[in-house]
Amino acid sequence: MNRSILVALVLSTAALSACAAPSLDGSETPGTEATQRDTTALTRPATRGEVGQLLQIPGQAPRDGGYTVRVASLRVFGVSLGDGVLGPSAVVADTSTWQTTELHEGQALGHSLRVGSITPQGVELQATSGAPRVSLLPVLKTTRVEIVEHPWDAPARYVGKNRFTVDRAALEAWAGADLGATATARRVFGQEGVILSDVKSDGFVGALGFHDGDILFSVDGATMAGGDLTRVKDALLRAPSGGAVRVRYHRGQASQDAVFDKN
Amino acid sequence: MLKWIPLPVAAGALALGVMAHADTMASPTKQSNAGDSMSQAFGANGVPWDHPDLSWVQGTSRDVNSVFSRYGDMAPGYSQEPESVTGAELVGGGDNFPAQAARICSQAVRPTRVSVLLGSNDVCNRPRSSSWDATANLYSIETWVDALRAGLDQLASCLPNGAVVQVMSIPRLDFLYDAGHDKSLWCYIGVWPMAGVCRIVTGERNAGRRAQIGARVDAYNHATADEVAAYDTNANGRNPRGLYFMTDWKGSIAEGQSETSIGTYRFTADDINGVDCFHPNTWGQSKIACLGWATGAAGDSSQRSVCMHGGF
Repeated sequence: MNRSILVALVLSTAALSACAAPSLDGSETPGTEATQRDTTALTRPATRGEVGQLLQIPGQAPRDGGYTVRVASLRVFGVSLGDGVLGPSAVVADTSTWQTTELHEGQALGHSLRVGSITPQGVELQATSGAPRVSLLPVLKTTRVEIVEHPWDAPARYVGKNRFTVDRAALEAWAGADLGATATARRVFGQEGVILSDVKSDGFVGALGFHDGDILFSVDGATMAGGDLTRVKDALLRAPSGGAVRVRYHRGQASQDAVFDKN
Repeated sequence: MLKWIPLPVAAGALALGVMAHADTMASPTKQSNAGDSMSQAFGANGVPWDHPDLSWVQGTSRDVNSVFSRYGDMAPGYSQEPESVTGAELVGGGDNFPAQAARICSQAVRPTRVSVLLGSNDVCNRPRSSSWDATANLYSIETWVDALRAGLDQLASCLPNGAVVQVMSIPRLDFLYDAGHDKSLWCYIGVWPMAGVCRIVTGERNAGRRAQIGARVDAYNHATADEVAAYDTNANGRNPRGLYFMTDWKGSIAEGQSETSIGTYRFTADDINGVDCFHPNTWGQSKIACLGWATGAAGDSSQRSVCMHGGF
Protein backbone atom coordinates (compact mmCIF):
# COMPACT_ATOMS: atom_id res chain seq x y z
CA MET A 1 0.00 0.00 0.00
CA ASN A 2 1.37 3.39 -0.96
CA ARG A 3 2.52 5.05 2.24
CA SER A 4 2.39 8.50 0.70
CA ILE A 5 -1.27 8.07 -0.13
CA LEU A 6 -2.35 6.24 2.94
CA VAL A 7 -3.33 8.20 5.98
CA ALA A 8 -2.13 5.72 8.50
CA LEU A 9 -4.27 4.83 11.43
CA VAL A 10 -2.16 3.05 13.97
CA LEU A 11 -4.43 0.77 15.89
CA SER A 12 -2.13 -1.66 17.55
CA THR A 13 -1.42 -0.59 21.09
CA ALA A 14 1.50 -2.99 21.04
CA ALA A 15 3.00 -0.96 18.25
CA LEU A 16 2.73 2.11 20.43
CA SER A 17 4.77 0.72 23.27
CA ALA A 18 7.91 2.59 22.31
CA CYS A 19 6.11 5.92 22.53
CA ALA A 20 3.46 5.46 25.14
CA ALA A 21 3.22 3.54 28.36
CA PRO A 22 0.31 1.13 28.44
CA SER A 23 -2.23 1.46 31.20
CA LEU A 24 -4.50 -1.13 32.72
CA ASP A 25 -7.01 -1.09 29.93
CA GLY A 26 -4.41 -1.22 27.25
CA SER A 27 -4.66 2.44 26.42
CA GLU A 28 -1.91 4.97 26.81
CA THR A 29 -1.07 6.63 30.05
CA PRO A 30 -3.19 9.74 29.77
CA GLY A 31 -2.26 13.35 30.02
CA THR A 32 1.39 13.22 30.82
CA GLU A 33 3.73 15.97 29.79
CA ALA A 34 5.70 13.36 27.91
CA THR A 35 2.65 12.55 25.81
CA GLN A 36 2.24 16.20 24.91
CA ARG A 37 5.87 16.53 23.90
CA ASP A 38 5.68 13.34 21.86
CA THR A 39 2.63 14.58 20.02
CA THR A 40 4.17 17.94 19.24
CA ALA A 41 7.30 16.28 17.97
CA LEU A 42 5.30 14.07 15.64
CA THR A 43 4.22 16.80 13.27
CA ARG A 44 5.58 16.92 9.74
CA PRO A 45 4.66 18.45 6.38
CA ALA A 46 2.03 16.50 4.48
CA THR A 47 2.61 15.30 0.98
CA ARG A 48 0.06 16.24 -1.66
CA GLY A 49 -1.14 12.65 -1.81
CA GLU A 50 -1.98 12.61 1.87
CA VAL A 51 -4.46 15.45 1.56
CA GLY A 52 -7.88 14.15 0.70
CA GLN A 53 -9.96 17.27 0.97
CA LEU A 54 -8.45 20.67 0.38
CA LEU A 55 -9.22 23.53 2.74
CA GLN A 56 -11.96 25.64 1.22
CA ILE A 57 -12.35 29.03 2.87
CA PRO A 58 -15.53 30.61 1.53
CA GLY A 59 -14.80 33.12 -1.21
CA GLN A 60 -11.31 31.77 -1.90
CA ALA A 61 -9.72 29.16 -4.10
CA PRO A 62 -8.95 25.86 -2.35
CA ARG A 63 -5.64 25.96 -0.48
CA ASP A 64 -3.14 23.81 -2.27
CA GLY A 65 -0.24 23.76 0.18
CA GLY A 66 0.85 24.23 3.76
CA TYR A 67 -0.70 21.08 5.22
CA THR A 68 0.86 19.17 8.09
CA VAL A 69 0.42 15.68 9.48
CA ARG A 70 0.07 15.51 13.24
CA VAL A 71 0.12 12.27 15.14
CA ALA A 72 -2.70 12.70 17.61
CA SER A 73 -3.63 10.38 20.47
CA LEU A 74 -7.41 10.17 20.41
CA ARG A 75 -9.38 8.69 23.27
CA VAL A 76 -13.01 7.77 22.70
CA PHE A 77 -14.76 8.56 25.96
CA GLY A 78 -17.96 6.98 24.68
CA VAL A 79 -20.67 6.89 22.07
CA SER A 80 -24.33 7.84 22.07
CA LEU A 81 -26.76 6.18 19.72
CA GLY A 82 -29.14 9.14 19.93
CA ASP A 83 -32.85 9.41 20.45
CA GLY A 84 -33.99 8.39 16.99
CA VAL A 85 -34.02 11.98 15.75
CA LEU A 86 -30.43 12.88 16.52
CA GLY A 87 -28.08 10.35 15.01
CA PRO A 88 -25.25 8.55 16.76
CA SER A 89 -22.32 10.57 18.06
CA ALA A 90 -19.06 9.98 19.83
CA VAL A 91 -17.07 12.07 22.29
CA VAL A 92 -13.41 11.93 21.33
CA ALA A 93 -10.62 13.65 23.26
CA ASP A 94 -7.25 14.67 21.86
CA THR A 95 -5.02 13.77 24.78
CA SER A 96 -2.48 16.52 24.01
CA THR A 97 -4.98 19.08 25.36
CA TRP A 98 -7.91 16.83 26.35
CA GLN A 99 -10.18 19.02 24.24
CA THR A 100 -13.02 16.90 22.93
CA THR A 101 -14.83 16.81 19.62
CA GLU A 102 -18.31 15.41 19.19
CA LEU A 103 -18.11 13.34 16.05
CA HIS A 104 -21.09 12.45 13.88
CA GLU A 105 -21.38 10.05 10.99
CA GLY A 106 -20.13 11.60 7.77
CA GLN A 107 -18.15 14.33 9.52
CA ALA A 108 -14.65 15.15 8.30
CA LEU A 109 -11.74 14.70 10.68
CA GLY A 110 -8.99 16.89 9.31
CA HIS A 111 -8.31 16.73 5.59
CA SER A 112 -7.82 13.01 5.22
CA LEU A 113 -10.41 11.21 7.32
CA ARG A 114 -14.15 10.96 7.53
CA VAL A 115 -16.31 9.34 10.19
CA GLY A 116 -18.07 6.25 8.90
CA SER A 117 -20.45 4.46 11.20
CA ILE A 118 -20.61 4.98 14.97
CA THR A 119 -21.49 1.84 16.90
CA PRO A 120 -21.30 0.75 20.55
CA GLN A 121 -17.86 -0.64 19.70
CA GLY A 122 -16.45 2.67 18.54
CA VAL A 123 -15.94 5.06 15.67
CA GLU A 124 -15.20 3.84 12.17
CA LEU A 125 -12.83 6.12 10.28
CA GLN A 126 -12.49 6.13 6.53
CA ALA A 127 -9.63 7.66 4.59
CA THR A 128 -10.65 10.27 2.03
CA SER A 129 -7.29 10.26 0.31
CA GLY A 130 -6.00 7.52 -1.88
CA ALA A 131 -6.99 3.92 -1.35
CA PRO A 132 -10.03 3.34 0.84
CA ARG A 133 -9.17 2.27 4.32
CA VAL A 134 -11.48 1.63 7.23
CA SER A 135 -10.31 1.51 10.81
CA LEU A 136 -11.93 1.61 14.21
CA LEU A 137 -11.31 3.90 17.16
CA PRO A 138 -12.43 1.59 19.97
CA VAL A 139 -14.47 2.97 22.85
CA LEU A 140 -12.51 3.65 26.06
CA LYS A 141 -9.18 3.26 24.30
CA THR A 142 -6.54 5.70 23.15
CA THR A 143 -5.46 5.34 19.56
CA ARG A 144 -2.78 7.15 17.61
CA VAL A 145 -4.09 8.71 14.44
CA GLU A 146 -2.34 10.73 11.77
CA ILE A 147 -4.47 13.81 11.12
CA VAL A 148 -3.84 16.16 8.21
CA GLU A 149 -4.36 19.77 9.27
CA HIS A 150 -3.91 23.25 7.88
CA PRO A 151 -2.95 26.24 10.04
CA TRP A 152 -5.81 28.18 8.48
CA ASP A 153 -8.50 25.62 9.30
CA ALA A 154 -9.98 28.21 11.63
CA PRO A 155 -9.12 31.85 12.38
CA ALA A 156 -8.99 31.12 16.11
CA ARG A 157 -7.98 28.13 18.22
CA TYR A 158 -9.26 27.49 21.72
CA VAL A 159 -6.52 27.18 24.31
CA GLY A 160 -8.66 26.87 27.44
CA LYS A 161 -10.14 29.10 30.14
CA ASN A 162 -12.15 31.07 27.57
CA ARG A 163 -9.05 32.16 25.66
CA PHE A 164 -8.43 31.78 21.96
CA THR A 165 -5.28 32.28 19.95
CA VAL A 166 -5.81 34.13 16.68
CA ASP A 167 -3.24 33.62 13.96
CA ARG A 168 -2.87 36.81 11.92
CA ALA A 169 -2.40 35.02 8.59
CA ALA A 170 -5.34 32.71 9.22
CA LEU A 171 -7.51 35.66 10.21
CA GLU A 172 -6.65 37.54 7.04
CA ALA A 173 -7.40 34.43 5.01
CA TRP A 174 -10.83 34.24 6.61
CA ALA A 175 -11.52 37.96 6.33
CA GLY A 176 -13.43 37.55 3.09
CA ALA A 177 -15.68 34.78 4.38
CA ASP A 178 -19.32 35.53 5.01
CA LEU A 179 -20.29 35.98 8.63
CA GLY A 180 -22.48 32.90 8.26
CA ALA A 181 -24.89 33.66 11.09
CA THR A 182 -28.08 35.55 11.79
CA ALA A 183 -28.30 37.96 14.71
CA THR A 184 -31.56 38.93 16.39
CA ALA A 185 -31.93 41.43 19.20
CA ARG A 186 -32.34 39.78 22.61
CA ARG A 187 -32.38 41.27 26.11
CA VAL A 188 -31.08 38.95 28.81
CA PHE A 189 -30.30 39.69 32.46
CA GLY A 190 -31.04 43.34 31.81
CA GLN A 191 -28.47 43.60 29.01
CA GLU A 192 -29.07 44.22 25.34
CA GLY A 193 -27.48 41.75 22.99
CA VAL A 194 -28.04 39.63 19.92
CA ILE A 195 -28.85 35.94 19.80
CA LEU A 196 -27.20 33.89 17.06
CA SER A 197 -29.02 31.50 14.79
CA ASP A 198 -28.26 29.67 11.54
CA VAL A 199 -24.57 29.66 12.50
CA LYS A 200 -22.66 27.95 9.68
CA SER A 201 -19.52 26.02 10.50
CA ASP A 202 -17.77 27.46 7.42
CA GLY A 203 -18.79 31.02 8.21
CA PHE A 204 -16.60 33.52 10.05
CA VAL A 205 -18.69 33.56 13.24
CA GLY A 206 -18.93 29.76 13.42
CA ALA A 207 -15.22 29.39 12.72
CA LEU A 208 -14.54 31.57 15.77
CA GLY A 209 -16.31 28.98 17.89
CA PHE A 210 -19.73 30.58 18.39
CA HIS A 211 -22.88 28.46 18.27
CA ASP A 212 -26.58 28.76 17.63
CA GLY A 213 -28.16 30.20 20.77
CA ASP A 214 -25.12 32.18 21.92
CA ILE A 215 -26.04 35.72 22.93
CA LEU A 216 -23.37 38.34 22.21
CA PHE A 217 -23.44 41.42 24.45
CA SER A 218 -20.36 43.42 23.59
CA VAL A 219 -17.01 43.51 21.80
CA ASP A 220 -14.25 45.30 23.70
CA GLY A 221 -16.93 47.04 25.70
CA ALA A 222 -18.93 48.28 22.70
CA THR A 223 -22.48 46.98 22.77
CA MET A 224 -23.67 44.50 20.20
CA ALA A 225 -27.18 45.92 20.44
CA GLY A 226 -28.33 46.62 16.92
CA GLY A 227 -27.14 43.30 15.68
CA ASP A 228 -24.22 44.09 13.39
CA LEU A 229 -21.94 41.04 13.61
CA THR A 230 -19.29 42.70 11.45
CA ARG A 231 -18.18 44.45 14.65
CA VAL A 232 -16.65 41.17 15.80
CA LYS A 233 -14.73 40.68 12.58
CA ASP A 234 -13.64 44.32 12.40
CA ALA A 235 -12.37 44.31 15.99
CA LEU A 236 -10.27 41.24 15.33
CA LEU A 237 -8.85 42.60 12.08
CA ARG A 238 -8.05 45.99 13.66
CA ALA A 239 -6.34 44.54 16.73
CA PRO A 240 -2.52 44.77 16.58
CA SER A 241 -0.27 41.76 16.95
CA GLY A 242 0.01 41.04 20.64
CA GLY A 243 -3.35 42.67 21.27
CA ALA A 244 -6.54 41.05 22.46
CA VAL A 245 -10.24 41.33 21.73
CA ARG A 246 -12.78 40.60 24.44
CA VAL A 247 -16.25 39.34 23.50
CA ARG A 248 -18.81 39.26 26.29
CA TYR A 249 -21.44 36.60 25.63
CA HIS A 250 -23.94 34.24 27.19
CA ARG A 251 -24.08 30.52 26.49
CA GLY A 252 -26.35 28.04 28.16
CA GLN A 253 -26.14 28.48 31.89
CA ALA A 254 -23.79 31.45 32.20
CA SER A 255 -22.37 34.64 30.76
CA GLN A 256 -18.65 35.05 30.28
CA ASP A 257 -15.87 36.83 28.39
CA ALA A 258 -14.07 35.15 25.51
CA VAL A 259 -10.62 36.62 24.98
CA PHE A 260 -9.03 36.40 21.53
CA ASP A 261 -5.26 36.90 21.72
CA LYS A 262 -3.82 37.92 18.36
CA ASN A 263 -0.30 36.83 17.57
CA MET B 1 -13.74 10.25 59.68
CA LEU B 2 -16.01 7.55 58.38
CA LYS B 3 -15.66 6.95 54.69
CA TRP B 4 -18.17 5.23 52.46
CA ILE B 5 -16.67 2.42 50.44
CA PRO B 6 -18.79 0.10 48.30
CA LEU B 7 -18.44 -3.43 49.60
CA PRO B 8 -17.33 -4.98 46.30
CA VAL B 9 -14.53 -2.43 46.00
CA ALA B 10 -13.40 -2.85 49.58
CA ALA B 11 -13.50 -6.62 49.26
CA GLY B 12 -11.56 -6.39 46.02
CA ALA B 13 -8.91 -4.27 47.64
CA LEU B 14 -8.53 -6.74 50.49
CA ALA B 15 -8.38 -9.66 48.08
CA LEU B 16 -5.62 -7.96 46.12
CA GLY B 17 -3.75 -7.23 49.31
CA VAL B 18 -3.35 -3.61 48.32
CA MET B 19 -2.57 -0.99 50.90
CA ALA B 20 -4.89 1.94 50.42
CA HIS B 21 -2.69 4.78 51.69
CA ALA B 22 1.07 4.68 51.61
CA ASP B 23 1.51 7.94 53.50
CA THR B 24 -0.29 9.89 56.15
CA MET B 25 -2.46 12.68 54.86
CA ALA B 26 -0.35 15.62 53.71
CA SER B 27 -0.66 18.88 55.61
CA PRO B 28 -2.96 21.40 53.94
CA THR B 29 -0.62 23.89 52.31
CA LYS B 30 -2.23 24.70 49.00
CA GLN B 31 -5.47 23.89 47.21
CA SER B 32 -6.67 23.82 43.66
CA ASN B 33 -9.97 22.88 42.13
CA ALA B 34 -11.63 21.69 38.97
CA GLY B 35 -15.07 23.10 38.45
CA ASP B 36 -17.62 25.12 36.55
CA SER B 37 -19.82 28.15 37.21
CA MET B 38 -20.87 26.76 40.60
CA SER B 39 -17.26 26.97 41.73
CA GLN B 40 -16.92 30.39 40.08
CA ALA B 41 -20.02 31.51 42.02
CA PHE B 42 -21.70 32.72 38.86
CA GLY B 43 -24.44 35.19 39.74
CA ALA B 44 -24.13 34.53 43.47
CA ASN B 45 -24.78 38.17 44.35
CA GLY B 46 -27.42 38.69 41.67
CA VAL B 47 -25.03 40.14 39.12
CA PRO B 48 -24.70 37.71 36.20
CA TRP B 49 -20.93 37.20 36.12
CA ASP B 50 -18.38 35.15 38.01
CA HIS B 51 -17.86 36.09 41.65
CA PRO B 52 -15.10 33.78 42.85
CA ASP B 53 -14.89 35.63 46.17
CA LEU B 54 -18.31 34.12 46.92
CA SER B 55 -17.44 30.58 45.83
CA TRP B 56 -17.99 27.58 48.09
CA VAL B 57 -14.46 26.36 47.40
CA GLN B 58 -12.26 29.37 46.58
CA GLY B 59 -14.23 32.19 48.18
CA THR B 60 -12.73 34.74 50.53
CA SER B 61 -15.97 36.30 51.78
CA ARG B 62 -16.97 35.48 55.33
CA ASP B 63 -20.56 35.35 54.08
CA VAL B 64 -19.73 32.01 52.50
CA ASN B 65 -16.99 30.61 54.76
CA SER B 66 -15.52 28.63 51.90
CA VAL B 67 -13.34 25.56 52.04
CA PHE B 68 -10.38 27.88 51.35
CA SER B 69 -11.31 30.16 54.26
CA ARG B 70 -11.73 27.23 56.64
CA TYR B 71 -8.38 25.73 55.71
CA GLY B 72 -6.82 29.18 55.98
CA ASP B 73 -8.08 29.45 59.54
CA MET B 74 -6.37 26.23 60.55
CA ALA B 75 -3.25 26.42 58.35
CA PRO B 76 -1.52 29.83 58.19
CA GLY B 77 -0.07 30.51 54.75
CA TYR B 78 -2.57 28.24 53.05
CA SER B 79 -2.78 29.26 49.38
CA GLN B 80 -4.82 28.42 46.32
CA GLU B 81 -4.55 28.29 42.53
CA PRO B 82 -8.04 27.59 41.16
CA GLU B 83 -8.60 26.08 37.72
CA SER B 84 -12.42 26.12 37.53
CA VAL B 85 -13.98 27.67 34.42
CA THR B 86 -17.54 28.82 33.93
CA GLY B 87 -19.22 26.66 31.33
CA ALA B 88 -16.97 23.65 31.82
CA GLU B 89 -18.22 20.08 31.55
CA LEU B 90 -16.78 16.96 33.13
CA VAL B 91 -16.74 15.12 29.78
CA GLY B 92 -16.83 17.53 26.87
CA GLY B 93 -15.15 20.70 25.61
CA GLY B 94 -11.78 22.31 26.10
CA ASP B 95 -12.09 22.85 29.85
CA ASN B 96 -13.33 19.40 30.82
CA PHE B 97 -12.08 17.52 33.86
CA PRO B 98 -9.06 15.95 32.15
CA ALA B 99 -8.04 19.39 30.81
CA GLN B 100 -8.42 21.04 34.22
CA ALA B 101 -6.57 18.15 35.87
CA ALA B 102 -3.72 18.65 33.39
CA ARG B 103 -3.58 22.35 34.37
CA ILE B 104 -3.48 21.42 38.06
CA CYS B 105 -0.62 19.04 37.30
CA SER B 106 1.26 21.80 35.47
CA GLN B 107 1.18 24.19 38.44
CA ALA B 108 4.67 25.09 39.67
CA VAL B 109 3.74 24.16 43.24
CA ARG B 110 1.34 21.27 43.22
CA PRO B 111 -1.52 21.35 45.69
CA THR B 112 -2.08 18.99 48.60
CA ARG B 113 -5.86 19.49 48.42
CA VAL B 114 -7.94 19.31 45.23
CA SER B 115 -11.71 19.73 45.01
CA VAL B 116 -13.73 18.68 41.98
CA LEU B 117 -17.29 19.78 41.21
CA LEU B 118 -18.15 19.18 37.57
CA GLY B 119 -20.98 17.60 35.64
CA SER B 120 -24.07 19.82 35.71
CA ASN B 121 -23.23 21.29 32.30
CA ASP B 122 -22.86 17.78 30.91
CA VAL B 123 -26.59 17.42 31.50
CA CYS B 124 -27.69 20.98 30.70
CA ASN B 125 -25.76 21.20 27.41
CA ARG B 126 -27.33 18.10 25.89
CA PRO B 127 -30.29 18.49 23.54
CA ARG B 128 -33.71 17.46 24.74
CA SER B 129 -34.75 13.97 23.78
CA SER B 130 -37.58 13.34 21.36
CA SER B 131 -38.13 9.81 22.63
CA TRP B 132 -39.95 8.45 25.69
CA ASP B 133 -36.56 8.36 27.40
CA ALA B 134 -35.72 11.90 28.52
CA THR B 135 -32.10 10.84 29.09
CA ALA B 136 -31.53 9.45 25.59
CA ASN B 137 -29.16 12.25 24.56
CA LEU B 138 -27.20 12.37 27.82
CA TYR B 139 -23.71 10.96 28.13
CA SER B 140 -23.73 7.31 29.07
CA ILE B 141 -22.39 6.24 32.45
CA GLU B 142 -19.52 4.61 30.59
CA THR B 143 -18.64 7.90 28.91
CA TRP B 144 -18.88 9.77 32.22
CA VAL B 145 -16.62 7.29 33.99
CA ASP B 146 -13.99 7.26 31.26
CA ALA B 147 -13.66 11.05 31.33
CA LEU B 148 -13.56 10.97 35.13
CA ARG B 149 -10.76 8.42 35.01
CA ALA B 150 -8.82 10.52 32.51
CA GLY B 151 -8.75 13.30 35.10
CA LEU B 152 -8.23 11.19 38.22
CA ASP B 153 -5.39 9.26 36.58
CA GLN B 154 -3.49 12.50 36.12
CA LEU B 155 -4.08 13.70 39.68
CA ALA B 156 -3.09 10.29 41.07
CA SER B 157 0.21 10.51 39.24
CA CYS B 158 1.15 14.16 39.74
CA LEU B 159 0.02 15.28 43.21
CA PRO B 160 2.37 15.09 46.21
CA ASN B 161 2.36 12.05 48.46
CA GLY B 162 -0.49 12.19 50.95
CA ALA B 163 -2.51 14.64 48.85
CA VAL B 164 -6.31 14.58 49.08
CA VAL B 165 -8.71 14.73 46.13
CA GLN B 166 -12.37 15.35 46.96
CA VAL B 167 -14.86 14.77 44.15
CA MET B 168 -18.21 16.30 44.96
CA SER B 169 -21.52 14.95 43.74
CA ILE B 170 -23.56 17.16 41.42
CA PRO B 171 -26.95 18.62 42.28
CA ARG B 172 -30.24 17.16 41.14
CA LEU B 173 -31.15 19.55 38.33
CA ASP B 174 -34.82 18.72 38.68
CA PHE B 175 -34.59 20.11 42.21
CA LEU B 176 -33.06 23.32 40.85
CA TYR B 177 -36.03 23.52 38.50
CA ASP B 178 -38.35 23.21 41.50
CA ALA B 179 -36.42 25.92 43.33
CA GLY B 180 -36.64 28.33 40.39
CA HIS B 181 -40.26 27.49 39.81
CA ASP B 182 -40.99 28.34 43.43
CA LYS B 183 -38.95 31.53 43.27
CA SER B 184 -41.07 33.43 40.78
CA LEU B 185 -43.27 33.17 37.72
CA TRP B 186 -40.74 35.35 35.86
CA CYS B 187 -38.07 32.65 36.25
CA TYR B 188 -39.85 30.05 34.17
CA ILE B 189 -41.79 32.18 31.72
CA GLY B 190 -39.11 34.84 31.20
CA VAL B 191 -35.57 34.19 32.33
CA TRP B 192 -35.14 30.52 31.48
CA PRO B 193 -36.47 30.56 27.91
CA MET B 194 -34.92 33.96 27.09
CA ALA B 195 -31.45 33.00 28.32
CA GLY B 196 -31.69 29.32 27.35
CA VAL B 197 -30.82 28.14 30.85
CA CYS B 198 -30.54 24.33 31.11
CA ARG B 199 -33.39 23.75 28.69
CA ILE B 200 -33.25 19.97 28.99
CA VAL B 201 -34.78 20.52 32.44
CA THR B 202 -36.27 24.02 32.45
CA GLY B 203 -37.98 23.43 29.11
CA GLU B 204 -39.48 20.15 30.25
CA ARG B 205 -43.04 20.50 31.52
CA ASN B 206 -43.43 16.82 32.37
CA ALA B 207 -42.36 16.21 35.96
CA GLY B 208 -41.85 12.52 35.25
CA ARG B 209 -39.37 13.30 32.51
CA ARG B 210 -37.56 15.79 34.75
CA ALA B 211 -37.36 13.01 37.34
CA GLN B 212 -35.75 10.78 34.70
CA ILE B 213 -33.03 13.41 34.36
CA GLY B 214 -32.73 13.51 38.15
CA ALA B 215 -32.36 9.75 38.27
CA ARG B 216 -29.54 9.95 35.75
CA VAL B 217 -27.83 12.52 37.97
CA ASP B 218 -28.10 10.01 40.82
CA ALA B 219 -26.56 7.38 38.56
CA TYR B 220 -23.67 9.72 37.67
CA ASN B 221 -23.11 10.37 41.38
CA HIS B 222 -23.15 6.65 42.15
CA ALA B 223 -20.66 5.99 39.38
CA THR B 224 -18.42 8.78 40.64
CA ALA B 225 -18.49 7.39 44.17
CA ASP B 226 -17.61 3.90 42.94
CA GLU B 227 -14.66 5.28 41.00
CA VAL B 228 -13.47 7.43 43.88
CA ALA B 229 -13.57 4.42 46.19
CA ALA B 230 -11.64 2.35 43.68
CA TYR B 231 -8.92 5.01 43.55
CA ASP B 232 -8.87 5.54 47.30
CA THR B 233 -8.35 1.85 48.00
CA ASN B 234 -6.23 1.38 44.86
CA ALA B 235 -8.50 -1.54 44.06
CA ASN B 236 -8.20 -0.49 40.42
CA GLY B 237 -4.41 -0.23 40.54
CA ARG B 238 -4.55 3.37 39.35
CA ASN B 239 -3.39 4.95 42.61
CA PRO B 240 -0.19 3.08 43.45
CA ARG B 241 1.17 5.94 45.58
CA GLY B 242 -1.84 5.75 47.84
CA LEU B 243 -3.19 9.29 47.60
CA TYR B 244 -6.48 10.02 49.32
CA PHE B 245 -9.67 10.15 47.25
CA MET B 246 -13.02 10.97 48.80
CA THR B 247 -16.51 12.10 47.89
CA ASP B 248 -19.53 13.55 49.65
CA TRP B 249 -21.90 11.04 48.03
CA LYS B 250 -23.26 8.40 50.39
CA GLY B 251 -26.28 7.37 48.37
CA SER B 252 -29.41 8.90 46.92
CA ILE B 253 -32.50 10.32 48.56
CA ALA B 254 -34.32 7.17 47.48
CA GLU B 255 -31.76 5.26 49.52
CA GLY B 256 -32.53 7.28 52.61
CA GLN B 257 -29.93 10.01 52.36
CA SER B 258 -30.87 13.67 52.77
CA GLU B 259 -28.61 16.70 52.93
CA THR B 260 -25.61 14.42 53.20
CA SER B 261 -24.20 15.53 49.87
CA ILE B 262 -24.75 18.14 47.17
CA GLY B 263 -26.62 15.48 45.23
CA THR B 264 -29.11 14.93 48.04
CA TYR B 265 -29.57 18.56 49.01
CA ARG B 266 -32.90 19.98 47.89
CA PHE B 267 -32.09 23.53 46.87
CA THR B 268 -34.92 25.92 47.69
CA ALA B 269 -35.94 29.29 46.29
CA ASP B 270 -33.90 30.92 49.07
CA ASP B 271 -30.73 29.15 47.90
CA ILE B 272 -30.68 30.36 44.28
CA ASN B 273 -30.10 33.79 42.81
CA GLY B 274 -32.84 35.93 41.32
CA VAL B 275 -31.08 36.74 38.08
CA ASP B 276 -30.89 33.36 36.33
CA CYS B 277 -32.98 31.50 38.91
CA PHE B 278 -30.62 28.53 38.69
CA HIS B 279 -27.22 29.15 40.25
CA PRO B 280 -26.73 29.19 44.02
CA ASN B 281 -26.72 32.59 45.67
CA THR B 282 -24.40 33.45 48.54
CA TRP B 283 -26.56 31.49 50.95
CA GLY B 284 -26.62 28.49 48.61
CA GLN B 285 -22.85 28.72 48.19
CA SER B 286 -22.44 28.64 51.96
CA LYS B 287 -24.49 25.41 52.07
CA ILE B 288 -22.23 23.81 49.47
CA ALA B 289 -19.18 25.02 51.41
CA CYS B 290 -20.62 23.38 54.50
CA LEU B 291 -21.14 20.07 52.70
CA GLY B 292 -17.70 20.26 51.10
CA TRP B 293 -16.01 20.92 54.40
CA ALA B 294 -17.99 18.46 56.50
CA THR B 295 -17.41 15.61 54.05
CA GLY B 296 -13.78 16.53 53.33
CA ALA B 297 -10.45 15.63 54.83
CA ALA B 298 -10.76 17.84 57.88
CA GLY B 299 -14.47 17.62 58.50
CA ASP B 300 -16.88 15.40 60.33
CA SER B 301 -20.57 14.73 59.95
CA SER B 302 -21.54 16.58 63.13
CA GLN B 303 -20.34 19.83 61.56
CA ARG B 304 -22.69 19.29 58.65
CA SER B 305 -25.87 19.40 60.67
CA VAL B 306 -24.73 22.67 62.27
CA CYS B 307 -23.60 24.57 59.22
CA MET B 308 -26.40 23.36 56.97
CA HIS B 309 -28.87 25.02 59.29
CA GLY B 310 -27.42 28.46 59.67
CA GLY B 311 -24.31 28.07 61.77
CA PHE B 312 -20.77 28.29 60.46
